[in-house]
Amino acid sequence: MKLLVIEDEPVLLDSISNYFSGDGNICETATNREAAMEKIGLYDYDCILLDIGLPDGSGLDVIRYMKEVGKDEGVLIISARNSLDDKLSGLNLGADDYIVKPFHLAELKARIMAVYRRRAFNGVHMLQYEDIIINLDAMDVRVSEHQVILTRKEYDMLLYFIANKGKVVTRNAIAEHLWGDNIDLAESFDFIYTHIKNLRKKLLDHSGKDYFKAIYGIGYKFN
Amino acid sequence: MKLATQYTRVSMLTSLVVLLIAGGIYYFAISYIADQQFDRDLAEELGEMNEFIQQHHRLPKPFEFDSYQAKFEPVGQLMAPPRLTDTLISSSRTSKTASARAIIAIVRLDKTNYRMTIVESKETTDDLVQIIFLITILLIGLLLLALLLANRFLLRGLWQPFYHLLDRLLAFSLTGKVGNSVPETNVDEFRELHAAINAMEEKAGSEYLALKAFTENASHEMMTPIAVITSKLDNLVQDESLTEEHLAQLQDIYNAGNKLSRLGQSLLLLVKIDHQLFKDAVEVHVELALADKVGQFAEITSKKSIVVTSKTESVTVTASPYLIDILLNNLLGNAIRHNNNYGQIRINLNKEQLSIANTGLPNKLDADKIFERFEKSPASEGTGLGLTIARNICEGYGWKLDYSFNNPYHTFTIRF
Repeated sequence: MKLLVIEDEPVLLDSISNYFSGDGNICETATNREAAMEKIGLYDYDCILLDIGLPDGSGLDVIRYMKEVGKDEGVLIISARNSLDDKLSGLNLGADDYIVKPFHLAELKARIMAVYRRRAFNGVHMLQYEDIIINLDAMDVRVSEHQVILTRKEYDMLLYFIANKGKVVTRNAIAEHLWGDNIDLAESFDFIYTHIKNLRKKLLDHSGKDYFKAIYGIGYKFN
Repeated sequence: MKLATQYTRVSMLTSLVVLLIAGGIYYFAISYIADQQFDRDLAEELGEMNEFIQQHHRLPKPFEFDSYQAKFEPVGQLMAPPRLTDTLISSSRTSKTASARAIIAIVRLDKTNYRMTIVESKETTDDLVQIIFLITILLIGLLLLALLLANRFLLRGLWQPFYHLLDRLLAFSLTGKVGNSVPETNVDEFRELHAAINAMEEKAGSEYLALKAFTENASHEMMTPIAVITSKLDNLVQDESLTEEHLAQLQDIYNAGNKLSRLGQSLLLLVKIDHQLFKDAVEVHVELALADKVGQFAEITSKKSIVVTSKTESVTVTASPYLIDILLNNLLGNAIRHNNNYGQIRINLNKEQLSIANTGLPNKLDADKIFERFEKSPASEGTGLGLTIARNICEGYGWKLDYSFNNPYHTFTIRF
């Protein structure tokens, strides 16, 4: 997957490109509107990450420019403002999703994968990871040809881990993904433990393979 | 006590005292002048008597009218200067006595001394004084009445601008609501007061706006550094050489970052609510939103074995669905967070109010304090802004959020 990350904070840009590089992904960067437009004009990307607050103007201009030149890459907006207006105008202009700072990189990756999937396989929304095949429209999960019945949260979690395969995903990131701000962290960690235990067992029963690795005290890794 | 009443009271008391003193002086002055007049008359009378005695060498006949009497009595007394005195006069006809003025003098005729008494009634003068006195009383009464009425109506009218200004001050709110307009007045003091109040409102308003803008910007500026911290951590934990001890410390940093981010979001939300930036008001079915929320929390309530009982009617309000979600989230979240295992939550919704009651600690909370910013129990993981946000959302829609405690239930009630 080829990504363009447009972000004016160099340290954050560095973190994002570091997290996304590898695993066959190519991550290019731009720190202002001009550079972004130039790259978009020259190359094709699978997905574009766009910070709205750029030093030389609004990121929304970049989306307008893409429309003008007939580019239709998936766009995920990053904003420091949790503002409904920004969100609506971004989505109305044709952005695919909207994420508010601060975010976990795992969350960002899951969102990007969702955008990528929506665009990449037109109409055929299937996701495969080793012997796990997921029909995203029917929310149907099969492991080694066997149907596995997952709860809503287990299903969300599985998609989240597949998007972040090979990465350590923290419990904080999972908690925020599943519950947002609605839950105390200590409480959510208990739930996460239970959900992962169940999900792990369901996958293990059919594939004979343990996908989850607990990373002591901080989270889990899906492999 | 109102200023007008106080003023009326003082002015009336003063007038009364002054008028009474004046009345007294008036009375004594007239009496004195009248007495002087009598004394002159009587002295003249005495002169005439003496002259008569000199000319005719006999005493005049004593006479006795209703208001004028003279009599002579032989006395062994020596000559003495005439003296004037107050006395009574009785009329033989009506047997009525009246106050009178008398002159007593010793006259000498044919080597005999006679005491001559001439008495003149003061009745007519008394009548006059009485009439004057009555008129004075009447005048005092009239004056007091006039003062009372004038103060009541005139002062009330004069003070009208003051009450308008007072209303405006009472209605003043930093959230930008404009108070009643104050009618023009031509009283300088009130005009100055009006100008001062306007200037104060403007200044307070602009300072408040500046403060809010500051809060908003500060919260926004906070987000990027927090994003940097979180993203760096997310990369750091990928390192396989980290020990368990390192990871435990990273977890603490994660949690602190999470708290900071929640705090920033909450502050921003408060500012936006105060700014009334949520203009996406639609008809919201409260009972549905509530059922939704209870469903979202089902996982946690069942884990703590909390029994949730709801009694709801169909209620619609016009509000931002986003804010309603936050409001219910905060109230219900608190009811769960501060509940005991095997506790209860009772939800009651009707057209007038929504109440959420939960079991918990057996002590009443301080109803004044709990809605304050950053007021929270030491054990709470929250930001301490949840109830402030809930209250401000309610205020924005003109609802009232109250807390009450009726053992064992802590109840939060929204009156629509």
